[in-house]
Amino acid sequence: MRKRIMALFYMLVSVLIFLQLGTRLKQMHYVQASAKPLYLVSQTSASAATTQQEEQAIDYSKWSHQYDDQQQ
Amino acid sequence: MFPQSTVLDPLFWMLLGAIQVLLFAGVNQWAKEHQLGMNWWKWALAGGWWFSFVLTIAGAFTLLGENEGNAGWYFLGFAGTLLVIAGAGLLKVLLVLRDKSQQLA
Amino acid sequence: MKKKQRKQSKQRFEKLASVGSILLLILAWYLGGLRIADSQNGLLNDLLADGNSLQAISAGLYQGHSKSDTQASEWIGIGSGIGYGGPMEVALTVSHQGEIKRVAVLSSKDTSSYLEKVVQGKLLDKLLGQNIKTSIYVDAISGATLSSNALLQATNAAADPVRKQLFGFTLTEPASVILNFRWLDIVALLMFALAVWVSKTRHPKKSAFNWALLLTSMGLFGFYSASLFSSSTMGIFASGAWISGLGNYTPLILLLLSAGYIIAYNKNIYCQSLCPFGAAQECLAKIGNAKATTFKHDFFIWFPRVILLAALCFGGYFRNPASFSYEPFGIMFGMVGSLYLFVLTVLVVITSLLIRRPWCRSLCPINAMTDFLKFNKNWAKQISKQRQKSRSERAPEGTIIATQASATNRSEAL
Repeated sequence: MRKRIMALFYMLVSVLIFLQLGTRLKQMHYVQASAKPLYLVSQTSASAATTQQEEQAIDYSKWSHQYDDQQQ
Repeated sequence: MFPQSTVLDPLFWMLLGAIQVLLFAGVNQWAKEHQLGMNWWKWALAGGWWFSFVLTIAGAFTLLGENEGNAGWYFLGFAGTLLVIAGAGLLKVLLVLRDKSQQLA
Repeated sequence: MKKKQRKQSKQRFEKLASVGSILLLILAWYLGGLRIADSQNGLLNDLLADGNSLQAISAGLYQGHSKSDTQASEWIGIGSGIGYGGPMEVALTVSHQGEIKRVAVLSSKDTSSYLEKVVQGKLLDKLLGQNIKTSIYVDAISGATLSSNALLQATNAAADPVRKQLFGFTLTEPASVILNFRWLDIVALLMFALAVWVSKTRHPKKSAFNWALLLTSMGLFGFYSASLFSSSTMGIFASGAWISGLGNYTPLILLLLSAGYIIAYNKNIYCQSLCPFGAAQECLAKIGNAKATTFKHDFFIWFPRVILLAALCFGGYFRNPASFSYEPFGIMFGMVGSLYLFVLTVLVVITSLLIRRPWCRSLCPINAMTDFLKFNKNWAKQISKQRQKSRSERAPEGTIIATQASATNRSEAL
């Protein structure tokens, strides 16, 4: 029984290690082949956190412009 | 559970509740057979363990159902593993204490 | 006779494998070096605003200007910081006013899961918009402190050349390598000394001492700092990345002490009394009354060796040994790692309840390392013995010549 559990364990662990090494290999190969930085953030193409902040903030100038337009 | 039907859902959960009764009755028999000498705190621990186990599975599959796939699997893996270890520990405590109660008797 | 022959051919095969693995590692390293062309300029183009072109000013400082106008519209600085596996390179795009517009991680030798955690923790986003007139600071992401610190250090280093250009001063001094030594490194030395003592003592409470040592190590090097050594530490050592500094020396110290002890005394005391993961498995085995079981076939000895060699070769080829670690240590002690490693860790933990130390008995790379060191040590010993033997056979002639020479010397002197 113990031997059988160990055999099953051995097989599963080997498969997982192959998957791990394989994905890492693919990832590293992709990173090197693309010749791009690993990570890049910029103010213009702001990431999720910054866009959310912008959306949540109330744009008073926009409202005031609309108000002015209505008044005219 | 069954989005197409309004009758099957309550029936299904009533059935599951009934199975719980059978399960505890079965555990009681099993404990007697192994002479575990179950008392209130042993039952509380065993019941608590089972309750957390069911909650973990329910919680993990709720996460999976809400399209939080990774979170669901991580939750199941993390809490589930801890519970399996706790369960093994509890079983060991119960079995160790059985020896003592047998000696006393 | 046949048995002896078989043993001899087996030894020949092992010698071949030992030399071959070293050659393979060197080859992977060499091929990796060929591939890494000087692609830094290509990397930096992504940091420029659209349509701008890049011009190098000095080491670590570039200027971006639009094609019509040669006046600089933005500055790019490059700097490096020291992370878990060695230097991490960061580039910044800075406006004329000194505001950070873009941040890019150019290269890293840290485990990708840790760096991923830092990026997902929005550390890079928090850098945007900061002004480089003062030194840049954001809180480290907990659970990935080394990578966070490396990133911050690299950012400040990258800001410096731009700072000098725009404002005429610098803020960061070159970081000392010694600064990264911590109290934990001294504790590692002490713990190792204790482990040596425990392995030698004949005290009746030897096993209790061993347990105490294992549990302390599990707390300190495991759950507290996750600084146990792994295949990535072996890769870092072999690649020489530690020369330029490491964020954490504890794994390397543990590795070197263990390897040194194996070479000197043929005994692996790390696994026995120090390994935090071994300790965790032992605890689980106690809970589940687990017994040990092993496979005897040659395949199960060679398989983990091949995997370790492959991981080291990949690490050398891509110059990033930390990314190819495949142990459950990171998940177990820091909850950091890929989903595959997470499943692997869960598997090891649950199996530990049924079988004693299943990871140690299956694919742990430390076994392969121990075997490799022991084998080569014995080989070297054999060679030196043979040499001694042949020298002593030749010795009589040599002594005659020597006495003759000394005799002539003496006669000349007289």
